[in-house]
Amino acid sequence: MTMHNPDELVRYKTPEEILGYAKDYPAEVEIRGRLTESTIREISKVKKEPEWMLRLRLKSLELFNKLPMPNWLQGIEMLDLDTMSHYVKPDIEMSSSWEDIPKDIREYYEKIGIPELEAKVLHGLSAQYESETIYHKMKKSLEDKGVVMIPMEEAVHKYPDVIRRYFLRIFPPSDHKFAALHGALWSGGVFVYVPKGVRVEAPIEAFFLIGREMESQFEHTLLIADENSYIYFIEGCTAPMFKTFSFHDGMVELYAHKGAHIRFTTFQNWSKHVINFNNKRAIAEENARVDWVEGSIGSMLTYVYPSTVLRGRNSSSRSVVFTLAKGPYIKDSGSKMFHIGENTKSRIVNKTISMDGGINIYRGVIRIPYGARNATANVECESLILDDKSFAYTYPHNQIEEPTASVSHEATTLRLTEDQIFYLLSRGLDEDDAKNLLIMGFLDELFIEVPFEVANILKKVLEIEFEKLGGVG
Amino acid sequence: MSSPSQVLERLRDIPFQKIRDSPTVKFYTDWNVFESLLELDYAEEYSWETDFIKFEPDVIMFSDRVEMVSDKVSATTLTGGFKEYSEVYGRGDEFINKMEAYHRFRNNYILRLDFDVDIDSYTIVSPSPKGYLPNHLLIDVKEDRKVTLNLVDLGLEEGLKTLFLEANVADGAELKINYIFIHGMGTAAYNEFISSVGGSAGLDFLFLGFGGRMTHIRSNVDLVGRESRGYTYGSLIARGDTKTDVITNVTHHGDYSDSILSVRGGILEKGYLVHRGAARILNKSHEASTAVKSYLTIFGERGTAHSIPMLEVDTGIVAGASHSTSVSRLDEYRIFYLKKMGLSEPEIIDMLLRAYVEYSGVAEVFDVDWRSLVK
Repeated sequence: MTMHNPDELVRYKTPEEILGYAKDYPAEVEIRGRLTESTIREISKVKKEPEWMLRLRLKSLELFNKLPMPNWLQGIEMLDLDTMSHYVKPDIEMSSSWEDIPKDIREYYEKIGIPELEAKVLHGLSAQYESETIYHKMKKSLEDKGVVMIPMEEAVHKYPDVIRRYFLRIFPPSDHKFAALHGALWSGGVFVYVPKGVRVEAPIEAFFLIGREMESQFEHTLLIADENSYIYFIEGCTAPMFKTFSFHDGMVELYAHKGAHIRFTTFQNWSKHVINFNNKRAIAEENARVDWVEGSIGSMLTYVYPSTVLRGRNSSSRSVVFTLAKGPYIKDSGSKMFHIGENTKSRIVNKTISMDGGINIYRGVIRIPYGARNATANVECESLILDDKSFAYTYPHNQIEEPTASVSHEATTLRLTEDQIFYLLSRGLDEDDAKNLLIMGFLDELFIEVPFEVANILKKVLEIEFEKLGGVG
Repeated sequence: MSSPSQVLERLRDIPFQKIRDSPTVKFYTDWNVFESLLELDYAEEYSWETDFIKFEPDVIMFSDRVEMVSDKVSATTLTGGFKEYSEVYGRGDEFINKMEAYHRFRNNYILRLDFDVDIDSYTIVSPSPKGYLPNHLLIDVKEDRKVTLNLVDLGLEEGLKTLFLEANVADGAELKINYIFIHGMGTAAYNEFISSVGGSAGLDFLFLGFGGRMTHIRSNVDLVGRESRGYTYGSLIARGDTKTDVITNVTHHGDYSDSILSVRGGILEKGYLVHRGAARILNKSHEASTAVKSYLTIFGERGTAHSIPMLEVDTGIVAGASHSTSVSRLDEYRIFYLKKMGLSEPEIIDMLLRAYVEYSGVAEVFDVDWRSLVK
């Protein structure tokens, strides 16, 4: 089935039904079982990597074995890496034409409208299935401006000096156990370089799909915006339904050089059979700006904390995070801002909706060490709880050592009140429409951050999620 | 009495803190300070007369005895130590950390005060020790009684203090605690306040504090009854090289329960001040309302302020749950405005500090000479 119109999505009862159950697709290479040095060597060999990358992987594995399991993680006990596939290379050659992609696989992307989105909005698209990129295309106009967008593996061979300078330097594997695991097993993802002064106004997208159960996906996105450049990057993820579960441990590293502006938007709609761990960090140099938008709808467990190191003077960053915890699932999210340079600014907006027993947890850090003069930070958290079975927790840390800094933080936990609904009923709306309007208003800041076409798909997916409330949209 | 070495042997495997506080700051409390003082002997010399504050003691608590200056209320002293305490109150031997266990094992007596009459003012003094001073208080406010308790906690010498207060506020009762702590650079203190508030009862926990070498204060209020109320207002000043970590927690069990956790802090010179405020509304507590507020201002050039306001809401049937914090320096515009009105900069700082000191209302109770304390 080809999905040409997002309105067609609303006929599904749950977002999982859109993709249905996972289909068997043959793998050319599959590496699974106990995670050892030989596992790493085998992956590196399949990828024909240079020696320095193998050493980086082995060092990361060593760190993974040494680092303790983060004790604040809830619900991750079921994850037994020794029973998972660490690397799966599907039996598909990478192509720049959807026609070359096998029908069963292509259908996944079509059902959620990726080829249509590419045609209408995107200037570049990289689609990953399992552990490897299977589709990759960038418009010639960007190529002419010197923009580089290639699969990460290709970048390792083509630009080794650049990769060695940035790869796992923005988010070191020593940070925590799952960053180390990613460093050891990374596969797939995309490398993007925007030359000085170039503006990539139309978004480019990377889309990641996990196609089989008990599989781990470790894609790595590295984006470098050179001086005074601009880029808008969208990242999407999804998965069909599994009988057991799969695991995602991706990483995004962004580097905004002087005066550059990076907008990085993620929409995650994994099925409820995916444990989703995300590692996202940016460095902003002088006058640079990094904007994160994180829309987290699906998954069984999600851990995601976009963070920015505001290294340069006058650098700024904003992070807008929306999470929906529906059903007995956990969304553990938040944003972190580390102010290093003078006159730096950050803003965090975190909105969560909990329903049907869902648990939302916000963890945030604002850190302003001595010397980061005149830094300002603003944090707003809003949690909407739609029933009596659901939960919302906020754990912000504001750590200030600089007397010239200014930090403010506000948070509220709300419900849809009878007064609000009554007011809208008195204006002529029925109860479902009133609830829909209130929820859409709550999410307004998210929708205005994304292109109309993406917002439209997002609204439809949410409409399915909020079906009990009468649908949204 | 247990010797420090015997106790330390029993505590060997209990950590000061199991879980790190944040990805960037491991522990907000400098536990090394406590570690270095655990072998102190019990204090034999004390002082409680000071020009900084004015008060008339009703009770003075030493490490091995209690001096009842007045007989306003019924007092019982339990001297069976931790064993007796566990038997009487059914508490197990699980400790949240090493300092709590240390206090339990080295504490020599528990003072129990039963308030079955209304009391306008009752002052308990934990004096300044040379050495180690453990104090443990049980406060029971009977149904429909109104009690105001003044608690003076001094630490002006070289010493270590652990002060525990457990309060039970019965249905319809009102307990107001005016707590002042003045600790110097020679004192480390680990204090815990645990309160349970019954139906239609209220607890006002008001404090003013000048932390010392390392002052760790933890307050947990359980709003158990329907329409129970727990208001915590605090004023904190971190001076010189002092370090203060204050945790104010409230848990809502009862329907229509109401809480406010509000702290204002000023950081002078190289002072270090942490305020953690956590409000939890349990699933069974419907229509509860809570607000956590933390406003910290750094006056000094090398001050540190950490503000961690936490909310845990387990139900959608909530009247309101919010937190707000700010950490900032003295606002240039505010200074400019006040200068324009004819005030000099020292006068402005004096005025603003006064606002912080007097915020909780405790300064007035003890007629605090805060300017001398700040100096």
